[in-house]
Amino acid sequence: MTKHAPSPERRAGVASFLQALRDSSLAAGRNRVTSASTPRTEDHAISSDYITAGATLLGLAIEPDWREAVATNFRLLASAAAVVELALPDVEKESALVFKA
Amino acid sequence: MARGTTTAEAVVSAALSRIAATDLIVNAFTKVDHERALRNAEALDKRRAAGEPLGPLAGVPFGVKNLVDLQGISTLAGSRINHDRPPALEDAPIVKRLEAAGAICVGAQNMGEYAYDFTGENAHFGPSRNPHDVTRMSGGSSGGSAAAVAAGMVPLSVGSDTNGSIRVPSSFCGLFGLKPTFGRFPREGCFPFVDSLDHIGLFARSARDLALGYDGVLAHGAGNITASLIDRLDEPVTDLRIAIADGYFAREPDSDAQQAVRIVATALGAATIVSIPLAAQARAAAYLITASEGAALHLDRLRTRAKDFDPAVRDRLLAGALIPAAWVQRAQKFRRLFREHMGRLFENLDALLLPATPCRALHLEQKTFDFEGTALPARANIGLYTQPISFVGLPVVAVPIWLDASLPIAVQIVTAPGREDNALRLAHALERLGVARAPIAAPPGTDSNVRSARS
Repeated sequence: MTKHAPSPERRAGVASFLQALRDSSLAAGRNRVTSASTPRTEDHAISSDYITAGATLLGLAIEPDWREAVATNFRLLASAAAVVELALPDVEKESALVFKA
Repeated sequence: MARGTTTAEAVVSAALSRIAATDLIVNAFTKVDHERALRNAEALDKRRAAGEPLGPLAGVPFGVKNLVDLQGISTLAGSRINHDRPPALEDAPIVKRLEAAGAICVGAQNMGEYAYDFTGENAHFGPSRNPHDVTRMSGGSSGGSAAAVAAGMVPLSVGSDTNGSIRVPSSFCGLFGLKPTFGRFPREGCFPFVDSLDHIGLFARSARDLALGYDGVLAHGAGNITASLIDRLDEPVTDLRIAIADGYFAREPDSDAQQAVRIVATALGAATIVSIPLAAQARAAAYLITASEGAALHLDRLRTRAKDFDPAVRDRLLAGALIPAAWVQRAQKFRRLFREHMGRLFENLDALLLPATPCRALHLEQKTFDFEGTALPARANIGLYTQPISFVGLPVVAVPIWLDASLPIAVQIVTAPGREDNALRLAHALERLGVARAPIAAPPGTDSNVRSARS
């Protein structure tokens, strides 16, 4: 396989994911990385609203003490999703796994 | 055993004595089943006395990660919640196959809760400790399985590997670890984590022992594969095309991890360097799929028993439950793309060398480690080199390298799908060259070790 230079967008995506890893405390607040920067306020608000709605829909009770850690983990997953997105071809068709005529 | 110089009962009794002497500190086992082990040993000795043929693993004591069903024992999967489950009605097929080959199961081993962990720590049972330094992590999530082999309690353990849970403990505890091709070993009777990523594999102190275990598992399966790897281990490896992974896998060039890769590459005469595009994306996609599938598995438990989880596991699973479907769909779509990439890579290659862990064993309760100048959370990142490989189900043998006398670190030998033979042959060659080795750890339990473990 030949080497290739990643695009600036891809590099930015990877950097974003790694930054999210650095910023995240993947467990409760006790595990927080002290050198980490704080995620943006609007990210907190968006994920907080989303988590409240999603948890209600799924019948999950997230206690106040857990919310920050859950939100931090969710933001990390959002960063991972952004990285994956950058790697996908612009157009891709995939058939469902069914018998075909 | 076959020559009659020892008995199964003597071998098993020695293993049980070793466990009794060391496991108070190492904490590798959650349940030791003396009665079962000695009963099976006695039966094996009677068979030998009667002149019956013995299997290739005759009398070999082994343990299983406690997500593997053992008849009469509740399958805890490292959790408090599973204490409510009734004892398993029968052994998992992986146990039956090993015992059909003559091995003798001695018990269930400690692990990270529901296998969602790279540290070997457990909030309910305490950590399994690294026998080479009991103040350090064994690695996870198959930490107890690795620690038991490294401490000389058993020569063989069954573990599982979803994102690195055999390869990380192999690196931290200095063992040979086999994560076969996805689906190679049976998973029935094993408590799942991520159905599309879970692999069952083995720990041992030599490539030969891994090959014996591999042969034992496959020879007694439904397909009854009889091709023996043990007979092929000594074949020359000079014909194999070996490369070193660049880019994502070559970061921190001065690290212990990269030094270990260079030692292995030099010993095997590997000079070709290949790039694996999109490895970071593969890891990110594995992250998403793991969180989503794991959360779906545990959704009812999260609804009804959330407070009974280890908080670190619970919070990750809760976040995973909330992932939009589109993210997971795209991660799976990327997975097919990456699988094609890796498939093409192995059209012109037999083996790929890359680090197993970014560092040697961390201290227990250590929350971060330094990587490229920043502190990364340990629980999420110890497997950063293992995740992209298991993501597409490639077989791997982790080989332990000792850069000095303190602690080991492993290198991953990755091969084409279904070619565990090549990985094991290379691991065996490294042993013969004196490059890879897995010595039994000095028995923990000295006063200084006890003090360290408790401090």
